[in-house]
Amino acid sequence: MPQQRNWELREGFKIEKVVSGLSLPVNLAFVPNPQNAKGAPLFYVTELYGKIKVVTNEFKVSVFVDNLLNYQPDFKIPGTGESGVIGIAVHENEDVFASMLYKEGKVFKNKVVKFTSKDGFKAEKADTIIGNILSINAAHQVQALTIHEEKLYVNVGDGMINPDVAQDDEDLRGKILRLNLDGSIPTDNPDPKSYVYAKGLRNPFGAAWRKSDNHLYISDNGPAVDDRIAKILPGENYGWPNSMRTNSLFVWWYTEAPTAIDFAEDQFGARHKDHLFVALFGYAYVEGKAQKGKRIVELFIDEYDNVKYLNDFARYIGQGPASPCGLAFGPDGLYFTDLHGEVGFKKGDKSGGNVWKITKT
Amino acid sequence: MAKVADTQENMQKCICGTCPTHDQCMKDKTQGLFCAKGKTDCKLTKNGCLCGACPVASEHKLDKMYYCEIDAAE
Repeated sequence: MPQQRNWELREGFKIEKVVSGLSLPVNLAFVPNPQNAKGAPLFYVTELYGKIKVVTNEFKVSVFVDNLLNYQPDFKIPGTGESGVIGIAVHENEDVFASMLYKEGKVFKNKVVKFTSKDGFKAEKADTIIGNILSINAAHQVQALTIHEEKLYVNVGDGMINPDVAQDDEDLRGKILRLNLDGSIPTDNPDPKSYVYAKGLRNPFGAAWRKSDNHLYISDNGPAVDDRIAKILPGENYGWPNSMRTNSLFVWWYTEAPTAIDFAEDQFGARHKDHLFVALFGYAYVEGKAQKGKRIVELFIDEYDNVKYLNDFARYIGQGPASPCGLAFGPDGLYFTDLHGEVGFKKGDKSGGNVWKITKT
Repeated sequence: MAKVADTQENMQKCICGTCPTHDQCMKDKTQGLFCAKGKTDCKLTKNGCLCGACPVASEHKLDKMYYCEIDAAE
């Protein structure tokens, strides 16, 4: 495949478009142990307005499940269109978990649904494993999902309207939740009667587990200032709404809207192993160059939790509204979604989103 | 923090109109760009704030929220 000139990369890397024609692709999640047989599922992608698609190791795309929203999205981005189906995680047994909004009467709520299938290509059963969490029809909804040691971790935004809920132990907004895979509360949670694993978060879009220290890391979007990266410890308080800096590892004072994050393993060699890659989305919809976001950065966090450096890794230099949103390392490289793609829905293209792959040359 | 000019250019960049707090009263009065024009005279119900995601706010390094309530940036 040809190099794509709308992305500028660090020297020694190449980029290729592996999937196109998606509609607002948000996050992607790889099958933990993908089969080598041609045509086997490789990863899943959430589309904001109600679909999950499965992508094979030959990059063929099909619908895993659709019609996931019980309300009509309004495409107001930024604003009330910034919501829908967001987070996704795949268990080793190939069950797919996704986070999304739903409407009950006039009230928007968050839920996480588990989808089971026989072959990984078509969801046959859907079970809500947690729901009834108040939300907002905008950003700050339920976000990333991760699975670690047979537990599901759920990033939940503060719902934007009343940020004080992030400090309320009885309210699940503004928290990281820890669940058994059937939706029950693990008996070894910080409070064995509560899903809450950590609190004091605002809009924690991204999450990833780091193998070298066996901890969860998250990205969290600040208000007018202070986006951050944090290492999540059980029972810890991350400060919001009083501060976005409490227990943070790294802060962007000038906000960049960090979305998905992931740690490199061996995909880019020893120089990049265990480094954190962060998608900086920037403004919700801007064509061409923008003051912030529209790039992927690489951070090195040392064993004492110091961020030793941060470098640009990939940057969008085209004229379209594309910006990196979802991001995950696959077996052979770093994959990411560009949400709006090159054209974007504001110019009449509701299917412009792509998935890109960056590998070493 | 720089004062925001009440210009057509800033109005075009302004995202107040898509904000969850921007209600029918504000729409009827074609209100927006509160960081330049000042607070609304409509009855305000806070349903969330997009100021932190607005190009006008970041270009002027504004660090507050709900300019529709607190008045223009100074």
